[in-house]
Amino acid sequence: MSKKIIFESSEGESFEVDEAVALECQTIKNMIEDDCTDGGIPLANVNSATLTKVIDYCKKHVEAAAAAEANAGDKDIYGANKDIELKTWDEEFVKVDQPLLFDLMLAANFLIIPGLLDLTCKTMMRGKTVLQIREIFHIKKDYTDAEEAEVRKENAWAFE
Amino acid sequence: MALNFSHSHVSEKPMKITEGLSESHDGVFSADIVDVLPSDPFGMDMNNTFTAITGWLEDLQADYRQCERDEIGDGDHQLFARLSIIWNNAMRFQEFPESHWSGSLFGFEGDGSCAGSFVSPTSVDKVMSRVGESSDGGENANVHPALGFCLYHLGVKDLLSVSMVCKSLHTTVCDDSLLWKHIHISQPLNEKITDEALLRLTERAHGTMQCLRIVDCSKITEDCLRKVLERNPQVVKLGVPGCTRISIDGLVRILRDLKSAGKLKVKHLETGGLYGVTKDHYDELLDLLDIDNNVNKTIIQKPRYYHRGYTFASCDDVVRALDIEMCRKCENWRIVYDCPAEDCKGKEECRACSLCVQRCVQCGRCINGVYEETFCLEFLCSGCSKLLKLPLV
Repeated sequence: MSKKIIFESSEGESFEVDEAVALECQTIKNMIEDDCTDGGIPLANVNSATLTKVIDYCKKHVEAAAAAEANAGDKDIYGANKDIELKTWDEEFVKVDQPLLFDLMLAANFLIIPGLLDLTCKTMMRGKTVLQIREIFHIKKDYTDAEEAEVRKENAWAFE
Repeated sequence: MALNFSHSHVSEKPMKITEGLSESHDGVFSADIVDVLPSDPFGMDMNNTFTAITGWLEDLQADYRQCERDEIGDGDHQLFARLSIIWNNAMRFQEFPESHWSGSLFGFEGDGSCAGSFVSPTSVDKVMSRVGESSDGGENANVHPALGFCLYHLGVKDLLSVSMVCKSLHTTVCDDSLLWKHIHISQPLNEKITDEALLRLTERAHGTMQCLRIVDCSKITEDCLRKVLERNPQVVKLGVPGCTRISIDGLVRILRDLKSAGKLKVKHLETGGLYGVTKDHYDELLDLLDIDNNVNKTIIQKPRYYHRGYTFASCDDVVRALDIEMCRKCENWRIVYDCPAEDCKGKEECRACSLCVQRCVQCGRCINGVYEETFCLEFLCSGCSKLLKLPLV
């Protein structure tokens, strides 16, 4: 029976997770090492919906790592397929609406889960056009046409 | 006054070289044509000549800046540009200070707080506040805080997109050297990136770049690589797999020169199995990278399996000091692969380069007996071809 860690979301809801799962978060790992996790960890800036997702992510990745470990001596041909499976899972995982994706990003940043942070950031930004980025972050264009042309010229090599 | 000054320079010593080169190109300089030409078609050791010219251009740099301060009009710039190919090149090298200047122009305009700013990843708030307080009086004030740390997870192409979003982001992307600490160019930018573009990107690191990995960048020349490394002496990981213009001779020469200038920090080199590596090259590389051959061998390394494309997805995966070693079968210095097949594991006879042992392009196991040749003349083992065909049935 592994040790359990209790998270408390901003709404005051409690989430019990295995220590191994909690260790995925660098912030929590530090707290566990410092032995100050008794009585639950209050996460005032993570709401329940986000926390559920974060825990899902950590669980899946702990399981995947354990499975990879167990199969290490096994056929490596299928190792590649496992990777693909986890990638597909990740892709499905981030198919959420934008506010939740933002919350996940902030949570990943706060809890220091590099994989999740990377995944969410990439989902949000990868391959997006300038217009899309402006739209996502509600940024208004403050270039004059001449200035914009200048910047475009500077980066023209990459977008031709 | 500025004009006379520059004329005197042109007429002093470089005139000969200028004439020779411009004649051969019929006076017209086109970046495309030069890109297509081999770097050294007749084995005349052009690199050295170019290095000499480059050195000369660097001498000119200071003078040119002087000219710039003297506020030469655009017309004069045009005049210089037409002078010769050398001048054209000079103009190209000179673009760096200019581009910085234009970058800061955008940032500083109406936003005095940005002057000389340096954004660290911990000061994400600063980025955000800067994006917020854009010149039009805080119109973008409610930008999501997540954007700040998003930037640190983006590739080169996305960063360039971000820089075109608004002025303050342009400043951030251009000035934050931490964003450019690791430069990794692969698909889809690899075929587009030119020497000029790479130099400009690497300039943004302000000499703090630690990892440079250019994959399949067929336009990047040895001269460019040399310049980049000279300007970024902190580079620890260097990867040039599939860069067809970079030869092992050139690479060793660059590293040797950097070492003798005391500017070599490279500890991990990924050559991608350059053609024609000799024992001398290999020994020199070991020496240049400070690899103790015996230590290198005793460290248990993660097995490397043959796979389509290059094994490393990111620079974090580059753990070996040097990716080539001697293939026991052909005694050439190449990338040596391990075999993932159960019955070959750990066996020395199946550790060989891709020429000695045919491997499945999917799983990397050695192929003995049944195999299938793919459309691209690659091999698939029977297991993988079955796996791949299943969904089709």
